[in-house]
Amino acid sequence: MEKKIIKTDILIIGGGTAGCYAAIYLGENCNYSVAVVDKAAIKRSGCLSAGVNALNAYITEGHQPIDYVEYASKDAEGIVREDLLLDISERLNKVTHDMENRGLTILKDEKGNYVSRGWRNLKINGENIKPLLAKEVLKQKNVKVYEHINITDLRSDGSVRGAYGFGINDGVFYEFKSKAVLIATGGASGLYRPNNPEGQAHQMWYSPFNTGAGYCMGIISGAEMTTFEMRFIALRCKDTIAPTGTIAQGAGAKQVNSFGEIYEDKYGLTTSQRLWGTVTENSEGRGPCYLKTTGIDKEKENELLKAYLNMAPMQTLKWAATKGPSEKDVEIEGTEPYVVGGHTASGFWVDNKRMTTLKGLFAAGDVAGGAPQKYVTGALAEGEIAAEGIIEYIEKEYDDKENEGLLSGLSNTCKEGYEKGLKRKSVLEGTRRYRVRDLERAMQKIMDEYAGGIKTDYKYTVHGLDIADERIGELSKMLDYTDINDTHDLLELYELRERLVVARVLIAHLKVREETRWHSFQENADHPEKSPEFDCYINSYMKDGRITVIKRKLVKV
Amino acid sequence: MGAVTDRAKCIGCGRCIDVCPGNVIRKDEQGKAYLKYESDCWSCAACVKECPMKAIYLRLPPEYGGTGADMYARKNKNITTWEIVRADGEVIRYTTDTEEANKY
Repeated sequence: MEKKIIKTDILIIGGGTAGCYAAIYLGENCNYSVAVVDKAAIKRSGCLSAGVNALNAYITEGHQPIDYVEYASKDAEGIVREDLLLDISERLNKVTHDMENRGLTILKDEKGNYVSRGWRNLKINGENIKPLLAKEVLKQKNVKVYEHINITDLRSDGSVRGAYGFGINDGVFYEFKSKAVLIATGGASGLYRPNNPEGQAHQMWYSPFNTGAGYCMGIISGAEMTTFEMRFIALRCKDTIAPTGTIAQGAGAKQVNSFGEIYEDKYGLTTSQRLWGTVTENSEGRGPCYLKTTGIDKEKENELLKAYLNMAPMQTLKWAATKGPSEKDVEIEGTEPYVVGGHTASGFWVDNKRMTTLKGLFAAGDVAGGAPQKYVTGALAEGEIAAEGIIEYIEKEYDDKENEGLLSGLSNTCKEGYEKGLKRKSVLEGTRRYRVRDLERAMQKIMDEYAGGIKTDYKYTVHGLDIADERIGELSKMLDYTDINDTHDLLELYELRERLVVARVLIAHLKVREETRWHSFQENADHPEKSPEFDCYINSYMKDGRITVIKRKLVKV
Repeated sequence: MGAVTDRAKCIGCGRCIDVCPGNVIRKDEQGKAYLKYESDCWSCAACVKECPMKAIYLRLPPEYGGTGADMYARKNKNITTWEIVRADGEVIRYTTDTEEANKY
């Protein structure tokens, strides 16, 4: 395997929303060299590939940033880092205006004021938001973009000083050496068996290419993680798993059961309660459930079809090929659970500058914990906060004395790991071998059945978690017996490793929260009530392969 | 199912391969693009909008209802023209403009 060493001051892993915005900020506000590395091309990588239909985090006139903190905290039953939420909230409008100046279209009235959808949402055309961000990144003279490179491990000797990865197309071993690292790899999808069967398995809400890489790198390097047990399960249009907000908030459609009864008021209006309501209506025999859209006029229907082209084109295709929303209510269902810090509080435990518990490693966006309801603007804001933190770190704290022996050892281990993977076919000839995909499917089945997936209406028991933990441990040992033919197979192997590590930590977190804090998101059948004893964060870290779980006191503002 | 290629129309420019957020498209022996990892497609349509030849399109999976339909797109700066071809032969067209915000 050819080796390339790339030296840069700042390494950004993941060129999605937060990573790109951090790169733009660093380009415009400092002279440090910056490398953005992504496993795809930043033009469409990350969560915003197809586009986005609204900015769901904006402080409209008459409201204050603290209102947003209160909203997010209430929605998360108090398990949030209010300090992190507040500094994000204070920047939401600034980053929105900045994106508008960079070319994002936001709906305005005749007077030039934004048209909001509720008190914290703006209507936009976000089809081109990712190409727009990518274009801004490429304008920066001190920023270089490295695409189609999969990063798997951090380069750390106590301080994080870069990362290791391999080129998916060129098969090169890359060693990035930097003074600080921003991890912005997104959350984790594909842990649980998805809604759709094989063939359409990736027809999911969250990017199927967000495989928990950042969480995994952090976990195996000993970083502290928070609130993994607060899973995110989205309520979505059936089959296409397209967003419902545009129909519910935008077109004012209510959730109804198969008898036409509006049921949402019965269960409460937090994100998890809306989902739980739908699950319960189904399980008690009043499903399927719908968003009541029949009767909307043709003009509205046409606008809805166009709106979905800008974020989830499969939904428009479905409507056009079958019946549109004016003729047929839109059926809804819950997705499989994800771990994603942009919607819930799962992720790296960070300080106010977004530095993780590993010196020199910063986190922003879906991979950073503590601050749910970030959405796009929150991820942008957090990218900027982390970028500021990194500049300060390099100027005040960074120590250039590297432990060379340790780092060259790490580099060799990593490279040998890839080479061993690529040579595996000949080594394993005649012995037991498995396809990565079969192991992935096995993991998803185990998580679905024993760790609160769709199969059990998202409920879990401690007994089930013990089975899941044992089975995930077994699967982890089978990684060495997978069939690898090329660097794409190697990519799949490392993605599965990431998911298995995240799954183990998730199981540990679910087990410790001996209450039900959020219906469906974390529904412990052994402890179905909420308990004040768990007004705390559940955090964890891994050392020598063992997970230790700790409780931390809530941070309020 | 999701994105599907039409090898007869493909000119092998590789734009779909580069833009795909999941690295799922590759070239065959003739240098034509195809969905090597078909079941990994997210149906984001990044490739569909990128293709200059309408050689890649979204296909409605059979589980989603209807009797089948395909969707093509062509993007020219801020304007995207979408073409949905239904099983009954009817063609439905939409035009979206990134300079025009969604109404909902």
